[in-house]
Amino acid sequence: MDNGSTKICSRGSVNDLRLIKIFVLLLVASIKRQISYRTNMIFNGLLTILGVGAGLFSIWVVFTHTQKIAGWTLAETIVLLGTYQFVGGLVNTFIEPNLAFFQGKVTQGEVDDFLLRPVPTVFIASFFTCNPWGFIQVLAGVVVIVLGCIFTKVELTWINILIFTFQIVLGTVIAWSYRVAIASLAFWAPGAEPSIIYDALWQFGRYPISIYPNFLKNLLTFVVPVAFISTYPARSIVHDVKWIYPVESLVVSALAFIAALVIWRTGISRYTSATS
Amino acid sequence: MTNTIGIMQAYIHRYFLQWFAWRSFAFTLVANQTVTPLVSFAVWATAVPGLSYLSTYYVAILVVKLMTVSYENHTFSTRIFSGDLQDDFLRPHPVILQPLAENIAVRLWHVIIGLPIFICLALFSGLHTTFTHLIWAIPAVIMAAVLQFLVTYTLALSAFWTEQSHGIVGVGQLLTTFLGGEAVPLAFMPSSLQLFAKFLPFHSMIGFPAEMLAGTGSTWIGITMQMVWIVIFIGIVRVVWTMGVQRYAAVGA
Repeated sequence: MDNGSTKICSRGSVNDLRLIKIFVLLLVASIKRQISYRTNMIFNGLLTILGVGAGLFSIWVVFTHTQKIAGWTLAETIVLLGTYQFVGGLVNTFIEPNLAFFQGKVTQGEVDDFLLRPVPTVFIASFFTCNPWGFIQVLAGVVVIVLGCIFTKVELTWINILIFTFQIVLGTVIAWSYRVAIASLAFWAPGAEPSIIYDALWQFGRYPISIYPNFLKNLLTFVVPVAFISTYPARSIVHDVKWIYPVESLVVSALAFIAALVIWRTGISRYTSATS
Repeated sequence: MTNTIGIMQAYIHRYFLQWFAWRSFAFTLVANQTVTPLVSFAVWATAVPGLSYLSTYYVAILVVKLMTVSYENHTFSTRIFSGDLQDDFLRPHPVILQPLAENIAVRLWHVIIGLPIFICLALFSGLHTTFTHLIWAIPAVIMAAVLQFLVTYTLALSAFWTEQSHGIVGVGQLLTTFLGGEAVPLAFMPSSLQLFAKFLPFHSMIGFPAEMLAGTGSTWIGITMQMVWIVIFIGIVRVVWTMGVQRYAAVGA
């Protein structure tokens, strides 16, 4: 490394604005790469829409048998499904393509690439590529949320919507933190591939967590924070907002963020590349 | 015929040992299979409380799922994409025997890993089924297993035409989950849809054997539908296979 690159190598001077710029550049590069595979995009888009439709169908059938499940009406559950698809879409677009099956990258020594870049390793490991068709899931989520909000009988105020957006952002941060923590397990146990379990646990977020028995509800709030991804944000928009909700989410997401970084850093310090 | 059985035994033994090396991964696969029935059960238990039949039905769904699991899009489609399939053409047996053997080995592992879970769940939920039901359910489950393999294999053969075989198999699995009786037990569907869904292959693959295990299946209609769909899909597999092989070109040496 010589000439102009000495300046970028000083890791201490990385600032947030530069990270955002790099993120946008990575995004544009990914989109350019993937847009040439138009059939892929159309097909995955259709698959997403089918998945969302199937989810709506099963909710509709459930509500032909009852008026409320655990205090949530049909419209409210639809908003919850929309939230789930929205956050899930964000994760599938930006995070999943990079951190899914991370264990393979660790055992093959591909993490070396990330260590050599002049940006925080966890940043480049989480965001170096993206799946543009995940945006269709995000869009579908928005449509479903709006659909649910139209039919809900609750008064929608600007405060509700603001807190809802805030909690969705926090939920995404929590989802990212959790994904990073799960991927970091590869540094300790390179034989275990936890991505499948992560994907499976995500499914619990499709419905309000109050339908699950207490031990599962606690598990889904404190151990695997799936509740913060769909139930808690949706709760802010369709049920009464208590000020404790966004504060709770803020505290948990801050803790999750810090925990993820600590786990990642500890894991990276254990990383020994695959020798050649 | 004895040759085929001997070959299958050897392959199943080999794949069983291979998957023994991947047993922790197999464990995560089993965990993955248990989630959708669990979520669906929680939803329906909340929506229609007090039905003891629900817990029996969903334990049955879980058992059937683990016995009929099929991952041909991961095992076979990748062989088509990478060109490894050309080795299979040189072997003195139909190509389908290998993926079938792997399928059986994977299912064996799922059942072995899942068995303690079944027993716990059965005791915990106070399973309401009789020995007669279990006996009658055996042919239903076996045929569902065959049908599930045939359907997934057919969809995985789409790899001859497109890179989207994962997505295509995904659509098949989505339809099986939502129309087959897993996400929504057929008894709870609106009656017109129920009738329609009964004649689709998805119900024969998961909902019907689960109903037989739980004791509420309509035996003769269900078994007939399963046989009809198996015959149809055997025909489809043959046609699709012939068409696919004709256009298959691998990277040669």
